[in-house]
Amino acid sequence: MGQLFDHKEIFAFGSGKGGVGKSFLATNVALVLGRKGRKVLLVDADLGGANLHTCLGIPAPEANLSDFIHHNRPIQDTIIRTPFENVWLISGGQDILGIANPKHTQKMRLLKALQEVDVEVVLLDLGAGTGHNTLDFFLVADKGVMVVMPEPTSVENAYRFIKSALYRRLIVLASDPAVRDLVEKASDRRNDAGIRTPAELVEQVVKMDPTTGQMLRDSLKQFRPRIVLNQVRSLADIRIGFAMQAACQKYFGLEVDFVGYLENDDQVWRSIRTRQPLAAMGGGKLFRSFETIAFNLLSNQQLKPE
Amino acid sequence: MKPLHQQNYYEILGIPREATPEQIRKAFEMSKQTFESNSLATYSLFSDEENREILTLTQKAYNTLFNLNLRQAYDQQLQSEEQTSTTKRKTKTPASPDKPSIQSVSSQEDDLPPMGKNALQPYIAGTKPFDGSALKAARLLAGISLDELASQTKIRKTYLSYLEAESFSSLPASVYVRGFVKLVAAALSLPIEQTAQDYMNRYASATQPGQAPHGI
Repeated sequence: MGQLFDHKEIFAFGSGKGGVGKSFLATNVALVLGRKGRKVLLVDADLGGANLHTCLGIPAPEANLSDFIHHNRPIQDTIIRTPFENVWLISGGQDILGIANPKHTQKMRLLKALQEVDVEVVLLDLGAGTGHNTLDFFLVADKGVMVVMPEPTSVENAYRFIKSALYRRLIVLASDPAVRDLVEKASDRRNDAGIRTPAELVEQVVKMDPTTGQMLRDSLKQFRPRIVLNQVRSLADIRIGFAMQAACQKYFGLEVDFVGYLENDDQVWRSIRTRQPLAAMGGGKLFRSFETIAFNLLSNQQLKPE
Repeated sequence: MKPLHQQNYYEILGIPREATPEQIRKAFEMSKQTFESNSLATYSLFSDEENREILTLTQKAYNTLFNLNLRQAYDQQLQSEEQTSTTKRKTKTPASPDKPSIQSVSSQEDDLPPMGKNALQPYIAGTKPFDGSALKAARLLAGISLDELASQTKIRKTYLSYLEAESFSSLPASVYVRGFVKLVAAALSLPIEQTAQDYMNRYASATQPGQAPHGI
């Protein structure tokens, strides 16, 4: 695929809850980027529940991620061309056993290999939920995107996801067993250490061990999840994105970027039913929403209220 | 990132320091909607009480920043705090540019009604609730300046003057106010629980949700 680009970005798409439109969003953002002339690699990292190929309207490819992870095939051999300009795919493993739980070294090998693939943007479509695999991929990505629907269960799980990712990040960083212990304790909201929020946790750690505390604080500053709202039906729904932003800032002490929303539209289920990605057609309201999201992700921007 | 109670008014509203009044108003409106109890974005993170605390803080932030004079004073105070905390936390002198921010309040210090030794009697006897003027009377009777009380209680002088003037909207959330009142009561040898209780009753009735913001 030619020479390496100097800068490659990895976006990971996660969600606390399944069925909120992760794969749908990842696919369409990939297509939009492809149409703009960016080389994009979609990776189906929903280990165990892979179906990104279906979103793209192609049959399950022969080569897939498990060939790389379990059979040591070179990453190049697992990449397939899609019918869409500038978009490539690594399909998820179809074998049920084993792949759902790759070892840490296998994950690292995958990330390293992805760095070497000659594309500009890698989009990782993660499984739903807060499993370690999902969180680890979400955390190593340059940008983690959370897909949320404006409804209680989805919002709740989105917070749970952010919280799990955040504590996972802190636990991985904390080498001091005492600090690690405190982080684990704090992850339970009813802990007896009286720590209610991550912001308070970091304050506590600073008191115990200023160097580690500072490190955690810096690490949290760099952790900046993005939110995309899917299936919005009203202006009030859109405001939930901004409200979640404010809530995260107050509760987690985290900056969260609200990068875009997708309106509820019959076109969406039609596109899913017919396995024809929406963005392939170009034009229309939803296409512009995908463009906005892609643009905001690439340029580190976000929506502005009103 | 900072815990909520350490955030300044700009951080509380989530706006830049150079925010326009329009931005401030919008941020405030949004924040009100967000932290109404039972809002979709907050119900799973914050209890009703926490939501209320945030709303109170937000209201205070708005009251200060939306008023040009108060904002100027606040900015100066913030700036001087940042300077002192970057140089050294403890070298803060009494002549710090804190002053302008309490001018409106401290000007009242001059026109105090004359007070005899029995000025506190009705409060202690329970016929009058301990309010801001009781705190002030007790302090003057003890012959202590705001600066001295500030260094004794470790409460910022501005807050002390707000306590005395009952500028509730300029004070932090009620839990802190209660703490302040107790410290002040202890320093001035007032009955601690009674003082705190009386004062907080006044605070609560003045800052009840729905009531017009105090002090604009």
